[in-house]
Amino acid sequence: MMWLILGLVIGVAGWWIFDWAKAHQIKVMWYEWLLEAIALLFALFAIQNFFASFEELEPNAAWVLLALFGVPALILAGVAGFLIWRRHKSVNRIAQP
Amino acid sequence: MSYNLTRREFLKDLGLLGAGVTLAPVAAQGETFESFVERSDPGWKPGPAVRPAWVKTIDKPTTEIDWDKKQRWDERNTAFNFPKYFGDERLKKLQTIQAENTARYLKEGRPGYTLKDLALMAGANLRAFANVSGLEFPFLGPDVLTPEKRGAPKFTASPEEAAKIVATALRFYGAGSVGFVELDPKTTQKLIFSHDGDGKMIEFADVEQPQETKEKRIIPNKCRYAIVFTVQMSVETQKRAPTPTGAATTYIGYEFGGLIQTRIQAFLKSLGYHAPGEYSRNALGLSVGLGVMAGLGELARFNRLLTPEYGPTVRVFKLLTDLPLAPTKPIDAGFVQFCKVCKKCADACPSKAVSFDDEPSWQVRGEYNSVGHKAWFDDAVKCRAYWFEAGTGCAACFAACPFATKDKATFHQLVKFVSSNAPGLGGVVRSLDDLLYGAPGVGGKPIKDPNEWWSLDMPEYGIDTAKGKRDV
Repeated sequence: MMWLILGLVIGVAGWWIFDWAKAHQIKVMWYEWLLEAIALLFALFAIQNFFASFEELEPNAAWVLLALFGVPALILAGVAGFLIWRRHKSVNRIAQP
Repeated sequence: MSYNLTRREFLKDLGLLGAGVTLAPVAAQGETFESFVERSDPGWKPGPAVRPAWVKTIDKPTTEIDWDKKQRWDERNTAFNFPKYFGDERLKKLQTIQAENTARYLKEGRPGYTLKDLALMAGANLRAFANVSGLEFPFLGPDVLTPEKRGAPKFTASPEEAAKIVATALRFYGAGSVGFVELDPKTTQKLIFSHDGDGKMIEFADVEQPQETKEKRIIPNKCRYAIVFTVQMSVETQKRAPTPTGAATTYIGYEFGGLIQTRIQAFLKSLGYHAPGEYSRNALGLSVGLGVMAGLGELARFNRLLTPEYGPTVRVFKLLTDLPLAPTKPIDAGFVQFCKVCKKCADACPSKAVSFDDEPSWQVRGEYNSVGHKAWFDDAVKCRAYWFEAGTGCAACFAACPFATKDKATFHQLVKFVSSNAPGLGGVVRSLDDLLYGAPGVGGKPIKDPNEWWSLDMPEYGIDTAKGKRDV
């Protein structure tokens, strides 16, 4: 059930981001989508392991796994976001001389 | 220009994403889509549960065996034959140490040795401590209403169908994984003892039914199908080894094994077949050898069975029957390769009885090891001597194994996938396991605090019966 709810949340959020980018004429390159997708997988893996490790009565493992997979997820998402932001900024600069 | 989805497109995309994320854990658990579908098929195959793709079925086991060198072994050679290996004087001394240590630890209130821990162990090991009758492993099985007595024909089915119903019945009676080995006098029959621990000879003969006399146990030649099954132990309890708390799961596992054997004997006899079994714990044959041949697991560094479903936290049992059963094949889950570099069990062993060698060897450490196969042979006498010191069974090697997990976190599936496909990374996995779950305790210190065990709200018997992915 948790996965179904998470799937629905991701579906809604993904659709909203896609629609928002289109509305604001923000072009997202394929490799940026790929980076975001990998970041999402890492984040899901970190979340699953975090909660499951507590269920396994292994709090130390929970925090270490959250850091181990959550930090790369944040870095990858940050890199993709930065690339999109930088391009969007430069496009705007050219469009408004 | 903004792009607007229609309601229909929105719901379709939402459904697709939901399905994708819902199925993602299936893939993360190392299952192929095929095995996932097969699992929901009511006509599942006999033997061990449908397994993830990283467990490969093979023709020859990952343990090398020289069947010409292998001979039927005498159970009295095991290190449980204390007088043989320790001598009367040393045995008496060890027993005194055991009594003194247990009394001292109790007085000190040492974690895992308090009165409630000793009481827990006593309750888990009824047969040994209270001499309660009715829990024995009966060689011949109980008396039942056979088809003959009912005036009905005996059960007949193809070996595949018979294996399926036996596996189903065993799972219902409480077994974990189930496998079958067809005995061949030139090979697999050599895994049956020549003599049981009580000195009775085990003889295969052209007789109609199993018999037991004062000197021997006679098994009909037609009883050439070995049923091998595991009984799950509690991982959370095992992590308290070596203490009476930790030992409780070992003992209760044996007690369950005896009950399950008696029940499956009644089942097989009620179908019209014979079912000679173990007369006692670890009797009849080599549990681990038969487990390896049945594909229930691989022979690990600590010289015990390492299973894909339950890791090392199992006890292994076996019995024979004349009901033809389709054999199951050995497996390669990458465990032997992994064990070559991990060595966590050897580090954890308080008596240093587990081998540190990089490779398994044909060279045994003593008469207490059976010859004819390659293994990391353990110094079983050193191991048992420590039991006296600890005042109970040890199993620190079981507790330390990186595969002694509960499998709720998908990380464990990733570890198993990596171990199977890139066993050379065993060293990295070992380091990560130390970081996540703790390095082995020094001098037999349990990985987890035995006192905390008493505040846990555990499932029945402390085990997860949904492991092994069967229908519920």
